[in-house]
Amino acid sequence: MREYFHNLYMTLKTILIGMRITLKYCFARTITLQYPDRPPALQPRFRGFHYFEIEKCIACDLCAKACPVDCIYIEKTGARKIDKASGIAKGGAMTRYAIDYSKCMFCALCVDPCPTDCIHMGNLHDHSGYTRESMTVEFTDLALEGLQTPQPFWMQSEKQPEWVKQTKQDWINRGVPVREEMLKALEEQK
Amino acid sequence: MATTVIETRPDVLIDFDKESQGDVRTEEMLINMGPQHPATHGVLRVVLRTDGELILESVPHIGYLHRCAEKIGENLQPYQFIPYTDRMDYLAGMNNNQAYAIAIEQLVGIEVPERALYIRMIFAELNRIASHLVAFGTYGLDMGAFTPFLYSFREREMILDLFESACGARLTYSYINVGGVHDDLPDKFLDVLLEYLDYFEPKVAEYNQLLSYNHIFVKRTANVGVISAADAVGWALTGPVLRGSGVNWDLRKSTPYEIYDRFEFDVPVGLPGGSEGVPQSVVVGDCWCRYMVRVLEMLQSCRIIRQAIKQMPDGPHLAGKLKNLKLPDDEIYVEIENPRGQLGFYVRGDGSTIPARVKARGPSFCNISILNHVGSGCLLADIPAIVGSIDIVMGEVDR
Ligand code: SF4
Ligand code: SF4
Repeated sequence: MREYFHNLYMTLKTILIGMRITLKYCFARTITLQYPDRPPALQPRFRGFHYFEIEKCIACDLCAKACPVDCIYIEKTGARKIDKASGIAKGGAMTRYAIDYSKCMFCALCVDPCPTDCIHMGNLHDHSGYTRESMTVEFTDLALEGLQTPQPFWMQSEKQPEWVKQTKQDWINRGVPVREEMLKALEEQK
Repeated sequence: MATTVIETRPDVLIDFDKESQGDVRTEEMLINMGPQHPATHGVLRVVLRTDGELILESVPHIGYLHRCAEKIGENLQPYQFIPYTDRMDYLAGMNNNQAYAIAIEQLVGIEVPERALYIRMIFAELNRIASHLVAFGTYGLDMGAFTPFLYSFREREMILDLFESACGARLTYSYINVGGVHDDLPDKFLDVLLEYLDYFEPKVAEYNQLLSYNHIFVKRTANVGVISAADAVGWALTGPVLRGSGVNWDLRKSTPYEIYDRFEFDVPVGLPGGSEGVPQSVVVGDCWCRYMVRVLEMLQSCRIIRQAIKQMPDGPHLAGKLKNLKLPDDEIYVEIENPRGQLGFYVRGDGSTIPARVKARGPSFCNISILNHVGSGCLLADIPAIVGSIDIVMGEVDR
């Protein structure tokens, strides 16, 4: 009997001690982030979807060889070389540069060996599609649209929070200085 | 029949007349717990042979998450296998990276720069804290306390932010690589880290008040699933499970690897009830001891990190090129202390750049083996308490 009441007393006492801590946080600042309305605070080194500067790529296959899951596909018509004057790769045409994101594990091993520093880890972190094939991102096609990274669905929709519009604009602005050159280079290769 | 001896546990005598006020023994029943069960921490399936509330046998069935990690290691160069080690014990990616990196470095004979060693150690200890926070939070969750889980994840989130600032990933870091670390620390990292430690250390006292000394929690865990020191050693248990049984064995202290011999820290072990800060009903080797060892280890990790920040040297963070390393025709076995116990990697080279054999010794895999031994003779509700206190990560059990 005594033990029974002792247990009751101890339970209540320790729960109240715990409740005191919980109560303290009732009045503290909330730390939950309301994600779609507020941007996630990503660090500069965040390893998200790649962004790829096709005009600098010499199609040397080093990134594809370093990839542990073999998810980078590169096709070209001939050897490419960086043109010193413009900093743009000339020579054969890049016909395909694609990354299969259903396999990619965002390890960044493809970024390190690149001799011309043209593939980077970006800071977008979601991508969706209705088929397995749509998870393969064709960076050459994106380049023709003037993009360096795939745009997730939510970024394309009309109704979006302010930060998304901002991020989207940043992404589009990112490649502006080289885009003209890039499109020209692609035209030439055709 | 008044007294029954359970075959698997001859030491457990149950007086059914006394315990159940008359013989209410019914049929034995087989219950599947898992593989989809919130208290099994992943895809673990435990087949329970029960007699009413009493467990006669609890056999873990594993293999649902097998991904041939070792075989993959035999097809890739060491630096390419590092991302896969992340995915073994996914709550302690840094420690896994470190173990494989050390194995390859010792096999090839690479000298790792001082700064890299310090950075590695800081991250390994931070990851230990993060991993123990998950163990602490989910253990509360298993025992029916939801609040500590949210608190522990709040603190873990900040560690993940630190990781993200250094390596860009929040779970699968691939940061520690053969020959050092992938990137140098970002600006102001050590200041932020110190700030975090100042913030975190008082929180542990809060956790204790919230959960450790909560009467219901103590009742659920004290004197439950007792593993004796002899059993723990006999079953090759390691990590907090072994130390919870009162065995003072921590590879960081007993056979220091890398630079652990330069730091001062204590190895918390399970203490009998009535000692300082231990409730009366606790017995060495029970669930509460294992739980408490983890909580105390978090503070020790903070201590190590503080010393490392003070001693942090300048210099390069990587020992040159890590690609196309020729692995000599030799073999190596390296063990390090991962948050869950001793993680070992065996690597054999054959003169090419790809290892001929890779074998991992996962601490969770060895620790879960004792489940049947401690589980039989317990009550049904004790099984989640025992599984939670062993703290397994199924990714590593199955590899
Ligand atoms: S991030 Fe890793 S997995 Fe993804 S493409 Fe690059 S190397 Fe391959
Ligand atoms: S390593 Fe760089 S330059 Fe070579 S193919 Fe890959 S992206 Fe292009």
